[in-house]
Amino acid sequence: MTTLMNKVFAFFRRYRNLVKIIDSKISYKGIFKSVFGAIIMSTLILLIPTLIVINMFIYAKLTFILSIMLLVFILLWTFLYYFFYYKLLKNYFPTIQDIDTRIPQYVESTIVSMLFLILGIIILSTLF
Amino acid sequence: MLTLIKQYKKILVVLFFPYIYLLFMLVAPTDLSVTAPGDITPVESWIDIDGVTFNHQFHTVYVYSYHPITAFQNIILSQDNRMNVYETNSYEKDTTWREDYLSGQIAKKSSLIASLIVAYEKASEIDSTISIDYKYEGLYIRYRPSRIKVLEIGDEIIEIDGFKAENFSHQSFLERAYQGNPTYKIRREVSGEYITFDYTYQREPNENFILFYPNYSIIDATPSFELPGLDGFIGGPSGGLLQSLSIYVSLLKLNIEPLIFAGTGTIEVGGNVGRIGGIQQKLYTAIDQKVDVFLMPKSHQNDIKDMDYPFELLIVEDFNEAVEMLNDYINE
Repeated sequence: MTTLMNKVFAFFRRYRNLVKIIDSKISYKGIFKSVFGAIIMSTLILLIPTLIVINMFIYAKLTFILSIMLLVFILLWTFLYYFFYYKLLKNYFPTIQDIDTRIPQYVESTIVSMLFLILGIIILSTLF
Repeated sequence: MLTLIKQYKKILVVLFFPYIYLLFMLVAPTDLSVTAPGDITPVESWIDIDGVTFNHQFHTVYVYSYHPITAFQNIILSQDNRMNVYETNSYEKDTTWREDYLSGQIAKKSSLIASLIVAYEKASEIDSTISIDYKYEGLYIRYRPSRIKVLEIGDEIIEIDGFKAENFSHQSFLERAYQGNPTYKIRREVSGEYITFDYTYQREPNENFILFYPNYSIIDATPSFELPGLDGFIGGPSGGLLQSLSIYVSLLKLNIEPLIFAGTGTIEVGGNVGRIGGIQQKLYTAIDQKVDVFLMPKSHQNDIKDMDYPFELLIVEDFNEAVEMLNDYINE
């Protein structure tokens, strides 16, 4: 158990250090451009499947499954968003090209998607 | 971002046109509407009667009506023979979603009042402690052409050309509402208070008619009742028959065989069972929900002659007939 906890703490220390290094090498202008680009790209990718699901709500029997699918798309969107965010960030700042951004990407995606998941469960349990 | 776009230029160009086409199919509205199977709702969720435990076996059936549907929905729904896709009529085109909702709520209120009157009157023939006193108050506006901004869905017409509704039957007052260029006295509830004003209606050529629901008010009822279900999202008058049956059975505490009853049909004060929309979709809903007995108006008999259904079908013309048929399911 202690070994596991140590591994988790070590992972978060590494995450914090990586974020610090990345933050020291980027500017606000680049962050805004990356956020904007990541929002557009992730939204455009999920727009069509989301609209298909919304169009299918006409089938009353599928309402619950479709609602869950929408929630899954929202979770997927957070992962896509952070994927594109770090990809764009690397494009705008070649100095972070060699830094392993996968750890901050996965950690942040997971935290945000967990928040969306909790919110989604609350909404779904209220509706159904 | 531009670097990425340049990097994947070819694939993006190839995907651009199908993407835009799909987007258009998924959001562009058509001139079509659809009626789709929905669900069943227990009647007891709509009404509370003092000291009466509601029978849980009676359900109303609702269907979904959407307009306009998208081109994508048209493609998938056209393949499904359980759906009724049709050209949007002039009434639907002239109505906003909010007005649709309001109209549904007015219909439900009018239908619940009619159901209570019909059920109490019939039950009072058997149990003299049950009684109801009501009066006719006029008409609710359920549709008016959108050019008539001064009228709202839910306004009450209490007088026509100076003639008060309470001195007429519903049918004769309704006929008067369509004669010539009538002047309506409108009553409207604003922030808990009633205001009244006059409006003279002149129908334009080829314009849709104004549509109404009857407005009865219950002065006194024993046992007393409340309508907690009036703020729900499900509206419309088609639950009338089943509501009336459920109230009747519950008032008399009849012991019904353990079966699921569902059905559809409007109810009029006097007991006539009237036509409804989407009868086939309502039958499909009943099949999906595995009901045991389904009641429907006789006037729809020809609309379902090609359909197969696993339940017992009771076709009725009026409430008395429905009660007689229900007697077969009463345990002594």
